[in-house]
Amino acid sequence: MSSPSTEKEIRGNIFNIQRYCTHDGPGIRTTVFLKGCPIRCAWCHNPESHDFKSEIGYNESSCIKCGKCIAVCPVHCHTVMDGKHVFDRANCIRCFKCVEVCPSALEKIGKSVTVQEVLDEVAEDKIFYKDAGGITLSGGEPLSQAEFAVGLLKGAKEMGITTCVETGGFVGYEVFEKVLPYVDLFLYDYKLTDSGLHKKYTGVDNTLILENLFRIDESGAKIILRCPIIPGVNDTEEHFSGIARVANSLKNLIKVEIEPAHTIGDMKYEQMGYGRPDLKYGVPDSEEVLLCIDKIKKYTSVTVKKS
Amino acid sequence: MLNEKQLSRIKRIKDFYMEEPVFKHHVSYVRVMRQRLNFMRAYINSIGTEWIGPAVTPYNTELLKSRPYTARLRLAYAEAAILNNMEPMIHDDELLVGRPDYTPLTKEEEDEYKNLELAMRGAPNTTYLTLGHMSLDYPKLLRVGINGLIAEVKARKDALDLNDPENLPKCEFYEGCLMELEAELVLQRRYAEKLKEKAEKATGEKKEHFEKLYEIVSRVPAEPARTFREALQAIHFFSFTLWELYYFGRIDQYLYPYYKADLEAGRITPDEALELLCCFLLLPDAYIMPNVAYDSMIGGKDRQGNIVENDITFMALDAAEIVRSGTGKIALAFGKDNSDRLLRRAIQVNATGATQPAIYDDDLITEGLIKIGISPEDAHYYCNTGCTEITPIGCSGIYPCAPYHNIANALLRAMRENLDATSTKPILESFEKILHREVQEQQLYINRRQMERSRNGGEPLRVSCLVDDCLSRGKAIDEGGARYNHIEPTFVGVSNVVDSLVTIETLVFNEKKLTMQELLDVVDSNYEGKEDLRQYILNRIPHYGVNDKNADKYAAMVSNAIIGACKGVTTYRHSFLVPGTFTYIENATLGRVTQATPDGRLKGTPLAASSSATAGREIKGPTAAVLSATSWDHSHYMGGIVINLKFAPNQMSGENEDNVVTLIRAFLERKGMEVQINCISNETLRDAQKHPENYKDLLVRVSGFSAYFTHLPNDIQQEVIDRNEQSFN
Repeated sequence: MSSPSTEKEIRGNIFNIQRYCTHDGPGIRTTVFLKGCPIRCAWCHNPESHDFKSEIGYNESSCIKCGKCIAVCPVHCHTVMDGKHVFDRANCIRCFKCVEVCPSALEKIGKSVTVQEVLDEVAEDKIFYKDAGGITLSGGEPLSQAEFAVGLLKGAKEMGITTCVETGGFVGYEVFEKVLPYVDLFLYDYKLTDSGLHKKYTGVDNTLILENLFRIDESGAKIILRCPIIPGVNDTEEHFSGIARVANSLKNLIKVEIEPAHTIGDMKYEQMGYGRPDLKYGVPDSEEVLLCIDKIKKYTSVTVKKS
Repeated sequence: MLNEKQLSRIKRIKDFYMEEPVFKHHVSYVRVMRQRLNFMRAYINSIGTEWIGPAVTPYNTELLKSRPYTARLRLAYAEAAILNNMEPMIHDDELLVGRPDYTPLTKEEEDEYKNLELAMRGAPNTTYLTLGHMSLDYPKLLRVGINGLIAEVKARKDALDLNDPENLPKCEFYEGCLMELEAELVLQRRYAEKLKEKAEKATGEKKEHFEKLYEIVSRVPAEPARTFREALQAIHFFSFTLWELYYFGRIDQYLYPYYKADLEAGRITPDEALELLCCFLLLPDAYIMPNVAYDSMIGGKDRQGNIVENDITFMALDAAEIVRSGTGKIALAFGKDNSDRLLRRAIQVNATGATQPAIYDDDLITEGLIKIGISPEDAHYYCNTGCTEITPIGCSGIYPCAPYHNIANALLRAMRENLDATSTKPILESFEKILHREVQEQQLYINRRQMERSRNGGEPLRVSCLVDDCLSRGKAIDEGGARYNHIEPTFVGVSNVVDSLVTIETLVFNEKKLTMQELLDVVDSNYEGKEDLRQYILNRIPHYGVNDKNADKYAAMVSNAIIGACKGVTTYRHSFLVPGTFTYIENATLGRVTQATPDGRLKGTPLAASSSATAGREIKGPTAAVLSATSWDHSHYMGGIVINLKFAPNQMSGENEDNVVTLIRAFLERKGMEVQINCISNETLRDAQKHPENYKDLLVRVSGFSAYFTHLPNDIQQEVIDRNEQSFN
């Protein structure tokens, strides 16, 4: 067992701390985004959350072509050709020297921080949490950095701050066992009912995910089931009834939240230098979302809402 | 809630007011042309031009008697002439009456106007400096009526021993009061006559309507008010003839007894009262210069310190939501003992895009007022006057916003005086000294104006009849008759200076990227060829507004320097200075003539509004913005502070309402003085820029006041959009 002081020194990699989050659990929350994810959902809108290591984001519209990055890059990844800044990521060694000198466009995505540093910022907003709000761990997959996550959750509880974990569930159950005592609410993703399709669209099947879900439910964890609705992928009767079936069999479920697909992440794919995702889908309008909710409600009496 | 008929009446009145008067006829602070013409005619006439002979003869004694023989009395005489010559203005829909005479001048009158303006150049310039910006003792007007005031003034005048020269100014003051008060009665009578005429001509429902109004206007404001409607009519009538900012004060406190009595006697229904209150809030649109706040305050506590939350408190919020006036708005005083229900309702009204009520921390303000020597009773009974400038009600001779100091310029001068500095400390010291000198210089100017006005008059004398302790002391406001007389200068560019100091510390002292002289060269050249450095400042140096400890520390230091700069400066009326950071639209006007500043701000662009963070820099959301804004002590700034929060409409409704309530509670717990909310999407604002004709009554919060967006100058419009851009997601 590590001592409390060393627990607070555990480091993790995060890519954002977002304050005044009102959609990731009750009240006013501070959401900490942990970097890195073991699965790749085809509709993911957070490409900067994939890689466990820090990387470089480049926002072309903020670039003023000052050329400072060209001068400092040891491996000559930055060039300006025909008035356009070209960033050759294939050769980048992630030394981040360019980020240090860039005044506007290059950003280091991912920062190594200690539990204490994160808790300090989270504590800043304590006056706004009242009884409802608190800290939410998100990602990426926050449970993939297990020790760091435990440190954050435990530390928050020690400060009297409520905790939420937003998880995709694809980690070993031993991680859940470690965090369970310190989590007030799980925001648990449920993406696809058909295991084969799950594998097709996320890279893994959903056996482990479902197993973990039912086990934490058994142990009394409070759960909100979060279901992304991606037109053409999972807006099927089979999945809607599947959501209801899972919801009905959970003992500690608070509600089901529907998260309609959006395309806000598309720009970020370019900024991170990833190609645009292959999956193309439409964005459901509010009427279509209501329709989905109605369809799920046919099979269950639990609360189903848009997140 | 109001029925269709009531709502459509309110809409018709609003359309009429917005179409017709103020926007077309008001030229800055100059009164409506026709009233001004009558004023000048009387003034010039009262001086007299003919030679009346050296000796006292029955002829010239008579002549002198009919003519006011001092500058102050000429002013009162001319004031009275306006009232005596005004044509009653009555629209068929109005439930409360009294509006300026907007009849355009004829060609001959225009020529006469020009000639009289030339002739008036010889008259003492008494209207310079602030008029109004105070709330009057309207409860007294309701209690005793104008006749009661006249009786009091006469009694006081008759009691004077005129053999004592000390009493002559008092006598002159009382005489002037009487001239004006009696003219109010003349105007009231003329309104009543006109209503009678209308009633005689009308039939059916219309006839009843005018008969009822005739009955009311025959009575008030001459006599004490007996009903809710009489009370509203009385205070509106008295205040509209001043067509300046003489605020209604705590309407829920003094209107409630009238409402309650009416209700108990079955004279009124809650909806009828609400409809009247709506009409009342609309009226200022018809006579107050556009783009200022003409707030009425609710909530908070009474003079004895008891919580005030009654039916009128909530009715005022309902009315604000229905009327959405740009001028007649509601402000909320809210302390820790006020109810969640009230705050929640206030937030719901804001969520409709009504841009009101702004919320004032009642506990903090009372504490701040007591600190500057205001009695505890008066410190509970204050309101925001001007925009966010705090003054006690019915006893204030306080000058707000006098003047607007551009503190960004002071910082640039301080930098030039400290080229060899090794820390920001000497810069801040110089900054305070420079600011102090400027404040002192400007104050001398203001003091001389106050001196001029103390001799020759300024505020209409009837105003002093409702400001303690003018009547009992026999002194007008301009002579220092009011109980409180401090001056509230205001300081523009707070967050520009804070961010500039952080920039200097980072670039010159910590990173040693460049010297002070080099940094000055960069800003003097408007960042010419140094866009990379400007971007670095904008993107890589933490700013005020993101809960950054260092930047917030500088905010406290700048605030202290401002307080220090005001210390030891005495006003003409032997009072002192109380600072504010309220900027009105001066952050844009001063910004236009201000060079680039070290915070990355380019030449000519607006300075930051009030003590909010610079537009677009609150990148950590509203909690961080609130923490920064409340990281320094607001209690010294009774001259007014404005903190803007902005939300997209969906961020304030549904479940998010709770979060906004929590946010505002926390702001007040941390002793934030004032917070106001913009809840409107930028798509709407951009569309309004393109199609102003479709958005005539689109309201936005600018800085302590709301404005019709399409009436704002372009750079202020843009600033509102920029600020909104950061709308918290």
